[in-house]
Amino acid sequence: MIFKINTNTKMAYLVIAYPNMIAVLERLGIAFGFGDKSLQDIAIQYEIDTKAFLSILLVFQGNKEYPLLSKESIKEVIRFLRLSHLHFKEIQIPEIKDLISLFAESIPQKHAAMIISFFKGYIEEVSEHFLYEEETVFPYIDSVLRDMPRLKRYMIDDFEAHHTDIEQKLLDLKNILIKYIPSDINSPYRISILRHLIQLEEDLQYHSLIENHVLIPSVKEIENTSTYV
Amino acid sequence: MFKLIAIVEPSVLIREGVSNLLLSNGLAQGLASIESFDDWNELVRGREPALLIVNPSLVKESLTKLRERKNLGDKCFILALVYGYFVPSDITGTFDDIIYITDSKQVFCQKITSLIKGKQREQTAPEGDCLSEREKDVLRLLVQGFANKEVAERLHISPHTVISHRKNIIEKTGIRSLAGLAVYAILNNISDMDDLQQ
Repeated sequence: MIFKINTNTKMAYLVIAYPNMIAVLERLGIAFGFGDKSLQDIAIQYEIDTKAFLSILLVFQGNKEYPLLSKESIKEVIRFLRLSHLHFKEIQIPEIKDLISLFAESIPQKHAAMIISFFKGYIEEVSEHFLYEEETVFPYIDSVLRDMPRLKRYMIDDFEAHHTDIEQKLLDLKNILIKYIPSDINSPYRISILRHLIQLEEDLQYHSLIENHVLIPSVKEIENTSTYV
Repeated sequence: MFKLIAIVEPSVLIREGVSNLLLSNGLAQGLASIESFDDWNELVRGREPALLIVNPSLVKESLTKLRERKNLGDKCFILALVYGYFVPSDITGTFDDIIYITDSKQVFCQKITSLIKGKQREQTAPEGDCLSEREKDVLRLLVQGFANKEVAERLHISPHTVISHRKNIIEKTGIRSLAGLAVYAILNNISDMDDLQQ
């Protein structure tokens, strides 16, 4: 069910139609209990750039077309991405790590060690990826927005190529849990871990979509019209 | 040595060359060489080749079908004889190994003898993720940290074959990362914890 969202659409209606949008509200610190307020109302109340807010929600709706954004809106999208990183690193991923530790108690020690070490490796990769975005990509975008000389000839295209496949490790872990950890292991945590992994995967996909379809095209547009190279 | 080796290859120069090498190195008791599968029945006449060396351009169907149609038992090894430097990806993986026209005498003989010496050709599992013995060998070495080339050297197969085994392993297990494959290997007792570099 895809209908046209605009700034007058009621927030509650959207959340009911697209429950994944809960993540957006969570990360922006928007409290539930907002009655019949529209997107616009909420954006104003929480001082969020409206166009950016709309674009992010469009991604979560599964829309494929996004308007090009102004500099202000781009900054807001980046703020949302940073908040998302925080959420991944401090809430979602540690949750899974804890569940894995609990799960590990029901499997032979040597297998448990493997799985825990595998997930640790995954956490490192993901953290590295987020760090790269925060220390290289976002500052670069910032310099584009401020029309400042860039030190390196780093076009935004490089970022697209650099989007490493951290999703693959998640997929591998899912396969291991679903297919290869023997069926006589009867821990209730297995299913819980699977559910969390699936949710994390989805959220990371939305994250990538925002970067690839909302952020990058808008930045490219500004790059093309900027004075510096 | 192999009891009967069949060679199916259009070029007479190559056919004779390969046959000579096989005979002069004592690798075959009997040899049957033809330029295409048209002459197959006449050639083979109820005998079952233990090894088939074939130009892959003559293989129009899957190897499984080929085995069926030509009554090649599961025990018969099938090698591809390749001229070009580039091997189309649909060849690798289904053949037991690949002979390149640029292979030296040594490499060629090595490839043949390793089939003779090696374990009996494993039955191909229908589908599903049971890895073949060979695939397990490759996996074991990969998760120990060896590169494709090193794996190829240790198993006396070509790097292309290693790559295609690797692709099959990924397809069968659904696991792509080396770390994930390591977990898989431990869970399935293909590797031991001590073998793995960490």
